[in-house]
Formats: sequence, C-alpha cells, structure tokens
Amino acid sequence: MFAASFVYLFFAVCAWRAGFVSLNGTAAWLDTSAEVGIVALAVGLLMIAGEFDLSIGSVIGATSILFAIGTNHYQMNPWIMLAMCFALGAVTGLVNGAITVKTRLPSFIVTLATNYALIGAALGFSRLLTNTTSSSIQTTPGVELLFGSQWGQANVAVLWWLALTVVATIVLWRTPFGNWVYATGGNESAARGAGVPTGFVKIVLFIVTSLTATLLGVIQAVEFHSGNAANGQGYVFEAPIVAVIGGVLLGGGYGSPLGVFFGSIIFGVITVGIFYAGWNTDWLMLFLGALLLAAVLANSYFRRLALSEG
Amino acid sequence: MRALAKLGLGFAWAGLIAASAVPSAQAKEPFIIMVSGPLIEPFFGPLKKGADDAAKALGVEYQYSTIQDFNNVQADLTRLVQQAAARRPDVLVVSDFFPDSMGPQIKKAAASGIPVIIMDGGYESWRDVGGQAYVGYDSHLVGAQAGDLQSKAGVKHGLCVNQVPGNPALEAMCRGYVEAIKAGGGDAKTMTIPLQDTQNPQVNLQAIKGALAADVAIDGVYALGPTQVESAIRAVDEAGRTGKVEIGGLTVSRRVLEAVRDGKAMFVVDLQGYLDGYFGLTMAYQKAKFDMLPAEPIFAAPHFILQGDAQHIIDVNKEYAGYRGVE
Repeated sequence: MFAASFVYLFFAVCAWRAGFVSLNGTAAWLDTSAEVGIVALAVGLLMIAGEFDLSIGSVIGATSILFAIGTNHYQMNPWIMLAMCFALGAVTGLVNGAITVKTRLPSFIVTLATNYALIGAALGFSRLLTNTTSSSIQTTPGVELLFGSQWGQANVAVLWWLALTVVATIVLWRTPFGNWVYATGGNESAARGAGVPTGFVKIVLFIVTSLTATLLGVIQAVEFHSGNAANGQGYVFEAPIVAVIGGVLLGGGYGSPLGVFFGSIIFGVITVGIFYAGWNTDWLMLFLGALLLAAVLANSYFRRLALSEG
Repeated sequence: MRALAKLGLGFAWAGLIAASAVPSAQAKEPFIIMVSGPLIEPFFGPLKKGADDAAKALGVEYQYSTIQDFNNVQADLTRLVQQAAARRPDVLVVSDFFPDSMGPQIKKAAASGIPVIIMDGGYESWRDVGGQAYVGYDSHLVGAQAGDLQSKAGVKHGLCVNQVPGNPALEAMCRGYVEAIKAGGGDAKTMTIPLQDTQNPQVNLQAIKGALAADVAIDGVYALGPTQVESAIRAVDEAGRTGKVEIGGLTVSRRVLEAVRDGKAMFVVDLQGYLDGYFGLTMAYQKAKFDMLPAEPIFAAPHFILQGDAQHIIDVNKEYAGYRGVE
C-alpha cells in the first residue's frame, strides 16, 4: 500500500503537466491495472498454494481468436461463443491441474507445455479455418455492456477487477477453502496429513486461473473489437510479477488478494505513467525494472517493520 | 564359382536399375526453403499465402521456416538460416531482418553454392550478403514517403510509433519518417512499445494516449502496425484531439481501412506481402529449374491506400480474405 502511494505520487509529480492526475489519466492506469489485476489475482492465489500457471497467455489469445472467428466468420451468437470460450478455459485449467497433481511434475513445466500447445493449436486452427490469426468480432449490446462498456474512459473491467478482489478476499480469509489454500502452499505434506484435500484445492485454483484468463481475453476482444491469437503473451510473466510485488512469496504459503490488488495498481501506474511523463521510451524497461525493485524493497521493509513490532 | 556369377549378375541388374533411375532423379522438383517472419505477426500471413499460391500454381513443394515468438528473434532467425543451409536446398529464400547476425550465415550459404534470394527484409545489403536477387521494399524510403505525405498535409510535429524496438527495418522506417518531416520544416520523434506488450491492445492504447498527453504539440502519428493504428485513432479521440492529428499506418486490417475510408486516418501503407511471397517463391523456382533471375530488385511495395480507394479494397478483401491482412 505504501509502495503504491509512493509510486503514484512520483508520477503525479513528474507527469502533472500531461494530465496524469486527471479523470482521463486516472482512467488510463486504472484500465491497465484492472486488466492485469484480474488475472494476477487468480495467479496470486495459485502461487499462495504453491503452484505457477504460465498458460494464461495462450488462454487469453486462444479465447479472443475463438470468439472472433465464431462471431465474425461463422456468424454465431456471441453468447454461445462466450460459453464455448469459458468451457475452453475451464478445460485448460482442468488439464493443467490434473497433470500437475497426478504426475507431481513442477507446474512451471506443465503449464509452459500447455501454453505452447494451446497457442500452437489456436494459431493452427485459426489459420486452417480462416487463413488469418487475427480477426474482428461481432457483438450484441448485451455482451458489450457486460464486457466492454465504459464510464468516461474507465472500462467495466475495473468493476470486474474490484468485484473479483472482494470475492477473493472473502474466500481466502473467511472460508475453510481459504485456509486450505494457505495450508497447501505452506506445507503440503503436513496439510494432507491434517486432512486438507490439497489435490482438489490445486485443481480448483488452476481452473479459476484459466477462467480469469478467459475473462480477460473476452474483455479485451470486446473492448477492442478484435481477436488475435497472439494476445496475452505478455501477461504470462506480468501476472506473477504483479503478485510478487503484492507480497505473494514465490515459495508459496504467504500472500493476500489485497496485496495483489495494490501490486496491480503499482504496475498500471508505472507502465502508463512513464508515457505520460514524456520520457524517452527506450529507457522504459530500465525505469520499469528500477521502480519495481524499489516498490518491492519498500514493501518488504515495511512488512518487516510491522512484523517486528509484534 | 556359380555363386560368384550370380552375384555378378545381381550387381549388373542393380547397376542397370540405378542407371535408369538417374534421369528421373534429374527431373525431380526443386527443393526450396523460405526463411521468414512468424505467423503471429499479421503481415506474414499474406506473405506465406503468396508463397503457398505460387507453389500450388507451379506444382512444387517448399518449406516455410520461421520462429514462434519474438522472445529471441535475432538468434532464432540466425539459427534458422544456418539450419536451412545445412539441408542444402536448391534455392534459399531469406528475409534478412537482422543483417548483422543473419548476414554472415547467408553469406556462408551463398558461398557454399546455394543460390540465395533476399525477400522483404535486408534491402540495403542484399548484394553484400551474396543474394542473387531481391524482392520487397526499401523501408527507409517507405518511411520517407509516409513522412512526406503527412508533411504536405501540414504536420509539423510527428510521432513514429514502433512496436518492435530493435527491428532494423522498422527503425529504418521511423528514421525515414522523421527525416521527411524535418525536411518539411517540422520536427518528429520516435516512441517504442515494450516488446512484451506488442500484442497487448490496452497497453498500446494507454502508451499512445500518454505520449499524446505528454506532448500536446503532436499533430501527426505514423504507427507501424494495425493494432497500433487503431490504438492511435482511439487515443487521439480520448485525448480530445480528434481532427487535429493526422494518423497514418503500416499494414492493412479491415478496421484500419474503414478508418481511412471514414477520414479518421489519413492513409495506410500496404506492403503487399502477398506479392513478396508469390514472387519470392516464383523466382526461386525459375532459378532452380531454368537458372533465370530478374536483373534488378523487384519492389512489391509500398502501396499507399488513401480515402478514395479504401472502400474498394475493403470489398476486395471481403471476397478474398487473407490476401491483404486482417479481416
């Protein structure tokens, strides 16, 4: 939270002239934060349980091109296509979870494999069916309202993000399932010994992660009126980075949805603020890295302070 | 003694069969390898379609060798050239996107006796790397022509948006654009989109919007991809500067064509990748079979699509999807 305010103030000052601290400027970073935040929440939960999901990028891309081809080339009803997209997401999550749990292979590898398999399939099928990997979409007002409407320049994605954060917080801190997630990530064998269905927990979290990736794919497809099989690859690492900034430990067992929420804010503010500040964009990645490091260090310093005053 | 005679007869038979097989081996179809860009980038879909169509028309098979992502593009493409040369094709068609690293490998292939045709990327150095023919375009010139168009329309502060930083062709294009705007009495600069966000429409939108907000004097944008052009149009709208900024783009998509038709964008440059692929493969076939190649480079691009032609191109694309970009 401190890091988020620090980063925001930094850019508020540097980018004042460009209107960063305006309704539109705020909408700009909110939109960016919301999109990464939606999927980072689920990825963060999965990381708390001790697993990684690197297939979210392909789910986003595959969803968007599936939706686009279905509505644009085959004139199908958008709601049916939506159902198909979410089914695809659920199946991907199930496959990821089942393979990871049954074979005990590192989820890093399993989901990397499904990432490549899924994007290869998406590219191959879309090219086979329509000779292109990118396409416009056709929607109905209902679909637009749900996934692409705006208030000013802020997207409805922000509402989805806030709603999912609330749900995640409630689930993690107020339900037995939440306890199971922490237990699974903290010490899996002890958790299993205590009767926690760790396999079930992981599979559910994998499915949830893929579903949020599908949601993001649909939101982007509807908002930008086009699907592209290559969309989303950037989120594969951006989502875990946001979770780590938000305090989720890479080793599992510790973290909170609120932390991930603020992590998304930091990420959105930095990514967008750099452009508003008018700095030479070649240095963008350097600034991003430096500011991310500063944000994480600040976070861990304050956490140590808070924990030591036990 | 008898066994030896039988053996001798057997060998003679084998020799006869082999001898009769040789003439048909000489009549075998040419083995062509094409190394070019990845299909996740909209430009290369039509390019490969062009090569596929040419191959079908000529009745020949070829191999299209490419990378799967942009994570390590320079090293991956160089490795692909190496692998292609190792397979000793009859002709090698290469898009020389990174002359510094790919150039030496191409030169090696050419020196080992494989005829090389440079297609699309690498116009500046196609003869130096040992290429025997070239089909494609001159990026610097395309950028300059784009800048010229905008400058004549009154643009004094231009912005070139490059979504693949480090790609020499796109950088040359932005350089040409900037020089042309400056020659017209204005100034211009380049901005880049981080590589991992190239395909993220949200970040593209916010980045261009931010750049417009940071520099309110900008009155001309030249974006090097269809996603970027659409983001630029929307960014100009959201920044409240509709009508005050001229937008031009590279690579065709239906939405960009509609924007040009409706006056929201000034022009879109069609690099006509389909022609690159078609002529590249045809030239390879003709070299392999008849040892004939064009004497001068063939420029398949650019074709500037302006407001008047946009609707016609939209109609053509609807009937023939995949020949010219995204539908």
